[in-house]
Amino acid sequence: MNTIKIGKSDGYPLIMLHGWGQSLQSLKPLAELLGNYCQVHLIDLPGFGQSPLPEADWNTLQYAEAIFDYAQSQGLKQFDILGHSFGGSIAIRLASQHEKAINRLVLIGARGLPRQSKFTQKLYFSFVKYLSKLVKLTDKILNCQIYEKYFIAKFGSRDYKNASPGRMRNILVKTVTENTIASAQKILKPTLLLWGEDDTETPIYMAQKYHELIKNSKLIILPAKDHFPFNDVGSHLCAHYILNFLSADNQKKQFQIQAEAKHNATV
Amino acid sequence: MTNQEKRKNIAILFGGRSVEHEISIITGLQLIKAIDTEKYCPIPVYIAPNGKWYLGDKLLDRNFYKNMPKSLSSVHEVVLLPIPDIGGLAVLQANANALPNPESYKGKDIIAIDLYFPAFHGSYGEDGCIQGLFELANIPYVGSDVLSSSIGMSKYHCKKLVEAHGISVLPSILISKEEIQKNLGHNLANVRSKILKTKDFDKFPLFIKPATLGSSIGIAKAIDEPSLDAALVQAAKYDTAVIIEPCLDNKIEINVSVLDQGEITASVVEIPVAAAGGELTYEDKYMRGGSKKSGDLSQSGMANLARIIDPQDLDPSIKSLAQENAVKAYKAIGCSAAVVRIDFMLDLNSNTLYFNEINLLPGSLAFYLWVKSNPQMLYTDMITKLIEQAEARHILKLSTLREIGFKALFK
Repeated sequence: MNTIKIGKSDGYPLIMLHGWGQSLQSLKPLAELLGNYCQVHLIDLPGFGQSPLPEADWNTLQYAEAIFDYAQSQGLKQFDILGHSFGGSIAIRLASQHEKAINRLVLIGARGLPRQSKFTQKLYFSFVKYLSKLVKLTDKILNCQIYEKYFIAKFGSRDYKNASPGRMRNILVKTVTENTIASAQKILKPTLLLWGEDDTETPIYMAQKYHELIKNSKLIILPAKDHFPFNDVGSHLCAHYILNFLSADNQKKQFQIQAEAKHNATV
Repeated sequence: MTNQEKRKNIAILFGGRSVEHEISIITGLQLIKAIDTEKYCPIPVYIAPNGKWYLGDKLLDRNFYKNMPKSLSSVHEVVLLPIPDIGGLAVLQANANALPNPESYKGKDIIAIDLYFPAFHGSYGEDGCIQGLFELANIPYVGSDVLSSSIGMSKYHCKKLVEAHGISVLPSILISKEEIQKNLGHNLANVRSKILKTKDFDKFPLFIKPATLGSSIGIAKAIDEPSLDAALVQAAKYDTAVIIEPCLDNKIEINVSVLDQGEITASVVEIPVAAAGGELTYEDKYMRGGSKKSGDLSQSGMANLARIIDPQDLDPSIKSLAQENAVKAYKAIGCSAAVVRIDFMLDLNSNTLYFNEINLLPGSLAFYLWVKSNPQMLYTDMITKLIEQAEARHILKLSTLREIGFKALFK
């Protein structure tokens, strides 16, 4: 995996995971702002940026294991994790699978919840689904490439078009329908949910749902921001909330440790 | 959103009747994107080139400005009245399809504003004019007051003031537009000889600038008499007075920002880099980089300029002198509740650091310098600090006695 480290080498480790079709570059401006306080690990997820393709058609659980292995290899016993979009659902998997390894979570426009679509939209989706099967079958019988050449151009999502045919498209199809509800429910660690109010890819009802599912979570909705609230000077705004969240929790922890020490001393 | 009701309404004002109109739009929109929206509710207020004020969420979209004047029908026309205690902007014309929806202002012709944050550059916005209106309306606002804004805006008067506080400046001559116009028929011979007879001004090249403008607009270098004439006429097009300075042949520009965060502090220094070497032009500052991706505001305006922040090969004693003199100048000019950028000139021959000018509302509010300072300051936190300082200043001002009576009339 291609990774880079940014910021304070003695800071608390923070692993940052980018979204679908992105690379570690998308989170780099934010990482640079956080780097004054944290030891940031930016990762090109397998199949993205400069990282090689995963060896199989991975789901988010397998991605989470790869990140966990990376953390182990770096000697990180416990760390904070930030995930955007696709990276958010990986972070959720990781936090539910390896509870002890995760200290705190930051989720920005995290994927993993089913879309609430209208009846007409549902009808359209199933139409496209059956049509795709039909076209694929036609291709097979007539040995042509209608699916690749015409169908995808007309009906494929932006992510699908951007994914290279084969493994990455298989992974997209696999992960896009994954549901992280059960994993999210298991998370007890402090979690910050940062969401653009105008996010159309993961609309804010998903943020509210995650807020319900994750007990110890704080939700901040960012007005006039989209699925990439950390773009442009938005990186300053996101860094402000993230650092507040991380430091407030640090102070609380410090206080708890002191209180416990005091308690122990009196006992 | 939590605390939605408790959020303060902050009017962010930009645009204005200034040649730096579009730069101000960039600064204003950038500011709105970075402001802490948990604490504050930013309300964009745009002053069109014709001086009319507009308010509405549509102002956040860059395409709005491309589609002017048609797009003006999607926002409310408002105005700030110079009357104390109105508590907001008066609606002159509400538009049914504008957001925030007039429904929420039902029965009110005032849109409540808690604090005003000007993001103007240049005339009427940075020079004390709009600050005068804020004073008349008796409202809290970010940035320097009338006196310091107008002194800071005049390159000539500003230099005289900081020089009196022991900061080195290059000599300068002030020539009024009137004087230039009067002499136009005589090929500017009188003006020219007056300049060239002054001590330190007897040899070319010389620098000619409009006396109050920023962003390097109207600036020219004169290398001989004909180019001096041309430069004088050119600079006088933009301003009512022109300032002439000797031109250092071996120099670098050093900029530093100063911020009021309770304590007056200086940022790291930067060396801006001109495209072709030599002087920075308006194009260098704002146009370089070609076509920008729309919406990428962190790469717009002054934040986009090629620069070396905290240059490692610059003498540390020069760096700290620049920082020290910047804080001194900020105080001498009387700035308050402000972030400014002060531009120095380092004469590499004599190793002398000259104060050149102050920008009372610098492009991008110089946030790119504060994020690289030690300790790092995020733009979001800088905005909050400025708002808090502005509130504190307003409270202090309210505590000054202003007894108005009619006793003398009826003695």
